[in-house]
Amino acid sequence: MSVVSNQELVLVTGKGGVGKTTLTAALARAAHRSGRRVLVTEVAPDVHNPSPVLGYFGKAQYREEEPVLIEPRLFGVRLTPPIGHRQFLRAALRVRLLVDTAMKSAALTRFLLAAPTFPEIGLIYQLVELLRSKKFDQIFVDLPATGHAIALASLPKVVHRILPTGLIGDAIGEGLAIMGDPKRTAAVVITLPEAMPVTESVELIDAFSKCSIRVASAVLNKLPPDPFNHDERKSLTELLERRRGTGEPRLLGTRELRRLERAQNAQRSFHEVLPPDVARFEVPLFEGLDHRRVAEEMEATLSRPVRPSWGPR
Amino acid sequence: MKLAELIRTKEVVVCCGAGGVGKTTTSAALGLAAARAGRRALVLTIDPARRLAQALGIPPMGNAPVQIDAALLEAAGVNLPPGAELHAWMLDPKVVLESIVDRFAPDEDAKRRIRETRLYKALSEVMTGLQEYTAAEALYDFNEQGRFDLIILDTPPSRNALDFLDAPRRLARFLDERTLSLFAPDAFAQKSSTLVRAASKVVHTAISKAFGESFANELQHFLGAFGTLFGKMRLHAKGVRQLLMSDKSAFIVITSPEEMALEEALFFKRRIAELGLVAEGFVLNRSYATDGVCQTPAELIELEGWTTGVDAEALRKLGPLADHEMRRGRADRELLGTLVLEGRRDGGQGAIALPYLDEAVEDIPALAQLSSHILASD
Repeated sequence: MSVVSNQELVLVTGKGGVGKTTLTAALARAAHRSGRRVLVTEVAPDVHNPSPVLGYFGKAQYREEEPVLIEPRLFGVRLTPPIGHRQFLRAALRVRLLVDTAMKSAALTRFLLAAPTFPEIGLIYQLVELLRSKKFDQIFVDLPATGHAIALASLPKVVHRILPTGLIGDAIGEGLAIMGDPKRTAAVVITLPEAMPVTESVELIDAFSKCSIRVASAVLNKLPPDPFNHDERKSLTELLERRRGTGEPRLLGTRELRRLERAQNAQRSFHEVLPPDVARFEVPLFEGLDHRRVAEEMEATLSRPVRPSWGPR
Repeated sequence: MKLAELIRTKEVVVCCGAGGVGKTTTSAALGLAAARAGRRALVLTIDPARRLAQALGIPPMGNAPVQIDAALLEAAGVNLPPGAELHAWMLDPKVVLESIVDRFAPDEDAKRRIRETRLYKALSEVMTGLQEYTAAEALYDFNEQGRFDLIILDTPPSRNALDFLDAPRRLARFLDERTLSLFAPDAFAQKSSTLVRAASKVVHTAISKAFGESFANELQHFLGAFGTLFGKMRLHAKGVRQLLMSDKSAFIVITSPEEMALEEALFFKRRIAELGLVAEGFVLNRSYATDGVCQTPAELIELEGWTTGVDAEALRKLGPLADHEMRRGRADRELLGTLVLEGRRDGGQGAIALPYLDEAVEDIPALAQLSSHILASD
């Protein structure tokens, strides 16, 4: 069992700051290592800022429209509204000169970027074009954080209703067919061992399933190691209880101990509240490593089947 | 950074920052601090932090701000001075869009026509893009009404959170009549020049080929119906920008001691500057930087004279956790130092640290604790 199998589209999402981008990079690496042709992408408003996910592959500054070759069989590109807009205008107008004129028209580009939902339509169009190209066995998308990811996931259905025909309508229809098929699309939700992020990940899974996108796996990231046995934990709890309110200085390490307790409670609830058909994975906390090394460690962890300490029976 | 002074004197405080740094919590704590300082404060948030909302008694996605019950605050030991109020609203883009139509449409018939277009229905269904507009719109509105002394705005939790800052400008561009006339030449016929009409034809061809003929027609129809609203909305867009640029408003960047935090915080500061605004400073959230005197487990073992047994073993194993805390304390103090320096550039005031609390901030007592730190920051 692994986080994703061979679906052509893999969508990675989660609350901000939980390790979404690292997971995207790790999953893409693993797929690449297993011999697939892989494209790694992220959703970005434009190409002006360095790309976090491409940064894992040394291509943070890559700004072009065509996927860049990172290594044999491994490619990277960004999904941005302007690229998608240019592509569909090119398909619509066919004449290159006309497209350039149209994209130079400040009014048109402003409209496409400012009118609600149009930027997202551009993103989806670019993604569908990449899927259509059949150049990749698997495309990994680092989606935005929860709220924007849900909005993005719900968009195709709505757009398809108002735009059933035309270039965009056709592309979106195709996108919907791919995203609605669990054999072709796998969504992965990543979260942290804390109460609120775990609750939110369940809501995210619900929201995705309402958009007909099945969440295949959930990853619990940054689980702190537990050095204590039962008796030692009990001894510490009693010690802290005795010290409470005595005016003794704070005992260093107790803050981390509380964090550990909270993480373990959250871990328990992670396994309790997730829908039964979602596969669960756990990734330990890697400290003192830079983000690229963390991605490597994460890849290694996820390649081994995980037996959660509190699994569903 | 004199955070306490900001919340005592400003009319708008915008909280920016990456996702996951505790922006919503900090916004709520700032609101509570402002109320404790005697102001009528409103916290506008887009990110629904459910537990916090529950603790404050706010319904998710209600259609108006809700005043936090003074009894709830008193129960947690927080007494507001006379006249002070704390309100909160989780923005629902749908509701704000409705209210725009309600206020600006000239008559019932126009309202009905707008609501009936499929595009409007789709717009109100799809949240994307609307969050930013509605935040800007609500901000302007409440400021105009003068119902609140201070509005704390929690921006959306993503790197493009700053779309919000740019929203008024983008909105203004979008609502520019020259832009609109390309799409709905009929609605602006008398003003259209030959050139505009020709350009409009190209655009129409592009749109109808890309989106389908019927959509292109509908788009024109929609913009035609919405046409009368645009002038007023454009004034708003200008108003929002003026408000955000003025002395009445302050921008702060919230960050936390994670690996990428500094980079992200600087990114936000730069983006704010690019938009012609000033970031007052950084708030380093959940930091160990302000930790006071502590005892290490090793010291305690020695003090107690324990050598063997489960107590000694437990404390010995606590050692690495204590070391971790110490390292993080040092790292956080260093980070704070850097943030103070960076925060003072370009007219900013520096940075302050808010402490890591032992429990997740999900109730009023924890919020009150944070707000005390904010009030003590002068």
